[in-house]
Amino acid sequence: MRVLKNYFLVLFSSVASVNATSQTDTLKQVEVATTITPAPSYKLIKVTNIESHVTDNLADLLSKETPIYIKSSGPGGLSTISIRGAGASHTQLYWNGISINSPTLGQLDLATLPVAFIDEAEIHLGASSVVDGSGGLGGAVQLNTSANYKNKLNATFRKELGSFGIDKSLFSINAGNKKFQSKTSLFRNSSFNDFKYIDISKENSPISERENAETIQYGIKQEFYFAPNKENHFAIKSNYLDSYRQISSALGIETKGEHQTDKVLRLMGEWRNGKNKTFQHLRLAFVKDELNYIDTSLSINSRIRVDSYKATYNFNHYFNYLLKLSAQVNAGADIANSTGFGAQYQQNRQSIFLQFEQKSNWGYQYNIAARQEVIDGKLTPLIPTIGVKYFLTKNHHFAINANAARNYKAPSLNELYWNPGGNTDLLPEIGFTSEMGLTYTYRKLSFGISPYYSLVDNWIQWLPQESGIWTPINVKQVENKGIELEIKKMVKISNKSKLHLHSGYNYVNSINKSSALATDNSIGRQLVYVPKHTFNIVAKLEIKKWSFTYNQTVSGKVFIDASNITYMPYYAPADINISYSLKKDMKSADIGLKVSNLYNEDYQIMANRPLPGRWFLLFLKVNLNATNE
Amino acid sequence: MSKFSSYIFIVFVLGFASCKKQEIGPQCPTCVDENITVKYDDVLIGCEGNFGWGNASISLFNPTNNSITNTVFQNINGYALGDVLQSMTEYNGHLFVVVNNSGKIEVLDTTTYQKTATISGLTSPRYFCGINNSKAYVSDLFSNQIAILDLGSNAVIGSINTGGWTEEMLLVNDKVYVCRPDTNFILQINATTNTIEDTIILAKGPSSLVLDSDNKLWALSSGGINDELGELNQIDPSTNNIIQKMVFSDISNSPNNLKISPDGETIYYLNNGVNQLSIYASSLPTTSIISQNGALFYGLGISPTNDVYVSDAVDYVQAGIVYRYDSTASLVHQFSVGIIPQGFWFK
Repeated sequence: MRVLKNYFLVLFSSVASVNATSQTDTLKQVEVATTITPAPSYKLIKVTNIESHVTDNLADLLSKETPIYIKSSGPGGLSTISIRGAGASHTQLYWNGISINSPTLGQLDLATLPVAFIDEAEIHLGASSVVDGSGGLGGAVQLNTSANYKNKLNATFRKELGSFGIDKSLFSINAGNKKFQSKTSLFRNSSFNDFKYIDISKENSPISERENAETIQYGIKQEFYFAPNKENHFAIKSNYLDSYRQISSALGIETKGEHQTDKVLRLMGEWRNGKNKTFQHLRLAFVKDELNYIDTSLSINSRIRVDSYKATYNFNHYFNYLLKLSAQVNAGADIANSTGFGAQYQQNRQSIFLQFEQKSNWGYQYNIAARQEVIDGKLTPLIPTIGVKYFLTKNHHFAINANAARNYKAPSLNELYWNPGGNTDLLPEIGFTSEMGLTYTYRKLSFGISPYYSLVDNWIQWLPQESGIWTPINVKQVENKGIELEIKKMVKISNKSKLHLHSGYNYVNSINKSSALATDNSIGRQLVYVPKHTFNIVAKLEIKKWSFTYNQTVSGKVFIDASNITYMPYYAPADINISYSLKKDMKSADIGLKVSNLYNEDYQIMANRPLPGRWFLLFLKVNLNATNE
Repeated sequence: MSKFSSYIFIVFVLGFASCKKQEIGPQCPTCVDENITVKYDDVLIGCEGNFGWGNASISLFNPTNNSITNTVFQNINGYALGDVLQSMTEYNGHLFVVVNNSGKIEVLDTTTYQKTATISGLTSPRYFCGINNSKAYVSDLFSNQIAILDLGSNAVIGSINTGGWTEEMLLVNDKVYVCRPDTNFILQINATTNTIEDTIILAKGPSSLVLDSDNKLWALSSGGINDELGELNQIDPSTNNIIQKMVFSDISNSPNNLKISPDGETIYYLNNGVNQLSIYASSLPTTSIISQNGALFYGLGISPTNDVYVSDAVDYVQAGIVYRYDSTASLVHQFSVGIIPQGFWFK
């Protein structure tokens, strides 16, 4: 028992600074998590190459590094995520375990989340999102930050200049010792986005220059980490974004000078404690989100201000290294003011989550869990989940897993309280989701295939009523079936050169099964803006001081009307990134060139919203790095 | 890495490099029709499209052979119509297609449906009203003005301040009556001097106007959104006095789409279905001639042969449906058109 205790402590101190991740002891196949994470029977995608996207936003990162479909209106413009055929509001985003979807809209604009604010991104697909909270009918995205206590000083300055006025600067300094770490990042990103495009809305499709598309973002991240002893870790985490965006019109609409500002402050205090076999993790957070959309030509000046207070407490207890009990308690309040409400609304949520997880010595694991939430004093449907994983071979290279969950998405504050039209009688959207998976992992190769099935009932859609007022209504039942493939391979070519390959393919058949509308012609048809096929590959070749990255994404055609008559064609942009690194002692300098949309494809993701053809970016990075070792 | 796998990768990359696709932007292969023939009894259906999506379109229906062609403007003129088709008005052998959020009017030749001019520089245009061979008015949602057009140069040459949103207009004896739907009145404008001469107070939300065979004006007020009861008023344009006031009984009613038969004897409007009354009636009908059956009717049109065309936008993101009824209100035909069908023009 004493051995076990030390084992936990050692593991704890090495992973304590890594949020929401787990470390595997390959010999024993035991995972020790200091916070609650999806059990091994669930599928998740760890997003790679985050460092190379540090000046990008989350939409850029996910659209390049994963096969997940990101619906983007243009560079820096409104970008939303669709996982497994579900809508943008059916994916919950979390920053260090705290939900950051807009409580009013129910979704998050990924363009307002700079990658500089995060260190890790993990996508929890389907049922695994129940571990994070409710509402992830498609899945959840966990964005985490962490510190490395071995760091002494790590200072970086990065400058990027590119086509159509791209100008990005990032300065970061991380400093500390074995007990204390401070992490600071400051950045400014701007772009005119006045790229050339083919204007299909005009006679003879002339080449035009995009207007009213400028973006300017400032951001700061400050985090302090403190580990007074092996058992306790404290952190204060914060970031602030000030974003100004002009909103360019769809083709065929004269520019009207619409613009939007977003000001978002996120603040968190964190305590972790690990003693013997019990781990506790408390997080208290405050998020202030201010959005202002102005369209003078239509006399629109829309303001939304939401203050959110959240607390989450995780408890993990290992009875032994094969048996674990986890519990989570959440409480939060969102206080929303919107020009669309005409009043202030507050929503309070509390939830409790319990999970029991057991493993066998020989490679078999199962878990059973359930979450119960209370929203404004009312019980929501209980969401249970169950998962199993089984190693097919003794060497543990092959495994199969299966899981299922019930889940729901509570209506957003806009859906409830928008004036006029808000519908307080709305039912939550209820989902059932299940998945199977076959994985192969051996040394530098991993491969996974996972078919899934999900059904969402009470799907909410805004529809006009007899009075002419638009109201959200529980209209549809949507069925999503699909299959996901992922392959990761590292090839060591020689001592000084290696090739990393990471590729994914998703197929999703997302159809409307039934409708509350008498004349609905969308039954049996694919949902709008859900591509059946998406694919990506990232190939990174490192040869001595050189690095070459080739990135190819493919998104199949999407229908843009629910009757499946009109569609947007497929698009397949590729990026190439070449960099050269010079290193001397603790100092290093990287210089590189990125060519985006390499084949100069003329394409749009959203109808009539053109995207740039081939464009270029030059970057320079200087770094000073010292460790305490 | 083996030579073989590097070859595979190179072939893969070159494969992508060589894929050149021709399609840019929204595609509708089933809408394409190379041989659009214009017939004497054509019906053009204006499809609004979604605000901000640039998918306004015109569908063409021929009642003789029941043929449908969607996106005819794009098929004939080679580019998409724009964002939010608001209205189609015929004047002097041309069809003035008001594209609201594109701030423009496409002028079509009614014998070919080919574009002859584009009138731009409008803010949020709603309806077109021809005054004479050289002059027209365009109402507007946001500019607080009516734009004055010169039909020779197809340009905006002036404006009339209206203080707010203006909707349907009707020319009667050199006077233009203009709906002010966010108020409870209609304006009377002198079409020679371009000045506001009078206002007529009605129920809240007047948005449509017709002229009957007796040269009397009819105005339909929705009553706003649960603000007050809607009203149908018959007005004598020589005195601007209200001859007859018919009040809707339910505050939740939002009557709209006032139309009149070609002979000017029968009034139609939408209110929980299609409703009909004679211009000599003294009260509103109590039952609809065509019920909605779970749908929500969006647009209404009366053909030269007294057929009733009514549209259903379904969920506003799929192909809308048009129902064609004969003069006895029995369903003759139904067909799918573009997104949010809202208006009809009969050749």
